[in-house]
Amino acid sequence: MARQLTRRDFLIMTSAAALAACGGTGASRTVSSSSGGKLPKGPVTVTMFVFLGGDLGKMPKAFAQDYMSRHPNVKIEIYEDSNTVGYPKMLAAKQTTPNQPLVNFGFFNAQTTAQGILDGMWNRLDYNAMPNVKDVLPIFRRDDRYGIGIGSDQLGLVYNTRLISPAPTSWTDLWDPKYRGKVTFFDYYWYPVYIAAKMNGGGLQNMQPGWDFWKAHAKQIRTIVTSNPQYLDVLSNGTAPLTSYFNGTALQWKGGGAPLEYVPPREGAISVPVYLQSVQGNTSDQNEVVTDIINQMLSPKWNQQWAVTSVEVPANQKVQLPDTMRSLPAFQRSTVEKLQTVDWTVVARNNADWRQKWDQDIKANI
Amino acid sequence: MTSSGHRVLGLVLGAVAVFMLAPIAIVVVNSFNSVPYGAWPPPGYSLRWYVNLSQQTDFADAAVRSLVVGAVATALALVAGTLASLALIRFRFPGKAAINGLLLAPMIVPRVAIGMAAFTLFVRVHVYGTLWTLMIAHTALILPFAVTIISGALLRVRPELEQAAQDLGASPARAFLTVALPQLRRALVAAAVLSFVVSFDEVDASIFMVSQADPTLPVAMYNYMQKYQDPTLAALSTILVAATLLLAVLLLRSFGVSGFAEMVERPRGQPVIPGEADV
Amino acid sequence: MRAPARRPARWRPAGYLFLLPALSVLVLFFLAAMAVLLSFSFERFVGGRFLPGTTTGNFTTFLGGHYYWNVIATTVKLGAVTTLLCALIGYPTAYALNAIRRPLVRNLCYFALFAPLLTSVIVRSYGWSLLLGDHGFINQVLLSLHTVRTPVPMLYEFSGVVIALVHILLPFMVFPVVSVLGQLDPVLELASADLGASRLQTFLRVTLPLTVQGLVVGCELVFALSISAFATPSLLGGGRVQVLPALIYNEVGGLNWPLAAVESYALLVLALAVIGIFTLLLRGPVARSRGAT
Repeated sequence: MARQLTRRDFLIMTSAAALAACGGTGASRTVSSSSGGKLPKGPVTVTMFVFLGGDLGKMPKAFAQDYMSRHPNVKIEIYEDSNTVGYPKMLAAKQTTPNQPLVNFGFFNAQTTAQGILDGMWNRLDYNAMPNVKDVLPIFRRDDRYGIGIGSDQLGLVYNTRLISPAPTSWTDLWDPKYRGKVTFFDYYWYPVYIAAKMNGGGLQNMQPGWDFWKAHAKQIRTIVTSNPQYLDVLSNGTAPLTSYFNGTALQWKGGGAPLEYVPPREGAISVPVYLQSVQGNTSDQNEVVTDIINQMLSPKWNQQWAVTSVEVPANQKVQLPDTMRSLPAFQRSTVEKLQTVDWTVVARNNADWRQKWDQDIKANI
Repeated sequence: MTSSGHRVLGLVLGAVAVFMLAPIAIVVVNSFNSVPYGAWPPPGYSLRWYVNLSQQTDFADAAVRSLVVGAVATALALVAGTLASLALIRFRFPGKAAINGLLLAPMIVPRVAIGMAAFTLFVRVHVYGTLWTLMIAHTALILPFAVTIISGALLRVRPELEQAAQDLGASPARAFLTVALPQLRRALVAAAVLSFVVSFDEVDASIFMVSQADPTLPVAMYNYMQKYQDPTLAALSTILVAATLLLAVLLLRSFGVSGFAEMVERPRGQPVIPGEADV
Repeated sequence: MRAPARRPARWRPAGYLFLLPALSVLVLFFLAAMAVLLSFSFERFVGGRFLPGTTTGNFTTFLGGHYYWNVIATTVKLGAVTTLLCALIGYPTAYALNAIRRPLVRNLCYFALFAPLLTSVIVRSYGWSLLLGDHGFINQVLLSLHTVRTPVPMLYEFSGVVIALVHILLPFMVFPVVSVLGQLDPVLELASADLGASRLQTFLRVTLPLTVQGLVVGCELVFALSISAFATPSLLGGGRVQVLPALIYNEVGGLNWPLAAVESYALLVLALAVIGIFTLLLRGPVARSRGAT
């Protein structure tokens, strides 16, 4: 069972990050990469799954170049795709040719990680063979050792600053009558349903109150969007100026000039970790290389790059975040203290049913 | 035709042209937008998305790949589609209705489901990610268009003339090629254009069938859209439409062909069946 | 006009030979993929994972669900409305295209028809959202002319999806009709006029019956394409227009491939049934049109 992130864990995490940031020099020590000739000498090719989105490909690609220059016998191929399209392909490949996985390792969000555990997709990692793990905050390690966290994004409210004033502050703003017909969601987005369930006596295990609630409040929704450009447009041009989405994506849009802002709701944003996974069906040579790569990606240098490009809380406590990042609302102590965590295994188990409920109870009533 | 008749037809065409071009015109204008999100009117104008497009190296490779796949698939579909149309229109055989339905089916089953199934299939027989599988897949997907259009036109081509040619000593194949095929020219061009365009625009199934490293143009565009949300794709579409217009104009100039219309239309006033002129 | 001495089609094995290239492509790719889909449709997907064994539960879930029948109804309605509008707009367009003599005008019209097909569905939808949106071009014009007080909702409604589908599918109606019109013998129309028929009579009695085959082909293409369209209803329907292909797309992403497979077969059966009925209904007029030449 995956260990759940608690408020306390995050407190420890931010204070550690802050300490590292203040302390300065301590973080620059690099861990020796390969542990004593264990790595294969012959040619090895591994394929890395990389998120398709914004700048999320930058750090993995830069890392691959660097690693290959240091290990001429290793070839790292990049498979860039969304988890939504890529994971079904991985699963189909696994069912068809279990010994030839589509990718050997890579980046997967919390929900895909949980789905992969159900499908027997991942290898357990040998944390003892990975020197950088000792610097990884405990909440990013997993008791079941199915992968290891590299960072964590969060979900809160995103709104149009020109059209909504004062700024929304609470999850309940999503169903405030004054925003009737002004809210938008991505097609299939269960998080507000979960929040509503929680506030109405239910929870992740009992989502029915949430479905009932949103069925009654479906008219809040102006439109459901199915692509990111469309999402950006309806938020920016005023069609539907309020939504719930990722901090990282909202900041990317804001950086491009869109009049948008991210707000962590006062009841707490939802934390969404990203994991590095090694895929079942790898050869033993591939596994050795993958373990080494994952270890090196967790080093302060590369983890820092990941955190900055993805605007996420880094897993390695020695990472120093730039001041511009630490001043963001998402990284404030008050925000981090309130972060909500989710049991992703429950999500993976119920995902198909929830998706149908979403179509039948919510989309059918907007 | 009277002038009032001309006026009505002109109005019809004008309205349809405005309807067809309006969304494209607005895309063209927005490709010069100064901000990444779409709004009307654009807050300002700039060339930044064209500059950005010029820095994307993947699109050129993907465009070449799409052109090759589209051309090969269209050629295969035209040959297979013409032969199949002949069989359907000129011959009687058991199971014809079923085959007719089968020929239509790839157009109806949602491409995303076909793509998913095809991916499983290709992985199982170890051909996933090859270009030729994509060509065959596209041929199957566009075959319904070719068959429907060509057989629709073939219905109106009478076998009697070919029979006459055969009576004069031509082989059945030669009779078909010299007598029937010229009458089908317009349908063949229409089928080719629609088939190529469907292949060139196909994304739902292809996204499962191509390897992410070697995408077709629509898949590359889809991937770009997932990464960045800005009018770079509008700039790319503007260039595609402009290039087509330019190509048409160049063909017009250099070959003296009066363009697409001339290619699809047979010389006027020439009856399909000469004998009927003296009714 | 004399009746044609049309030879009855002959039964010859050569028919199969002619079908060989098309059938081999279909068997190699399409039927093989459909077989994979069929095998998916009996798999057990429970609690987010595939379980061993087979089931017919996916079929009963689909056929027994009130919701799914609503989706089917929306899908058919979308297809029917789109096809009807395409026919009503496309036929006169084809007729006008065929009648225009000036090559430049004709070429420009072909370009206008053809250009939308060169932009990807994502970009086209983006264009429509700028035109039809609450703050889009059309609403801004209407508001500034004081025609309306509040924006007319067009985008993220059924109407917006229909507009965008008619836009992109119109060429599939126009091209088959133009191709049949081109084969039409102008002498027939002249003869009809000589015999004292009015232009309307000539059109209704001669031109329309002779070109109905092109219209049938166009309707088949447009109907099949509109009920299997996924991207346009998803991008412009705003979640309000739930059609079968969009459902299938979601099931594929959500790993519920068994249900996606069942829904795909349902869509195929639906399309073939509607097209079959359509062809049967039109068999009379089409047969008459063939007899008339």
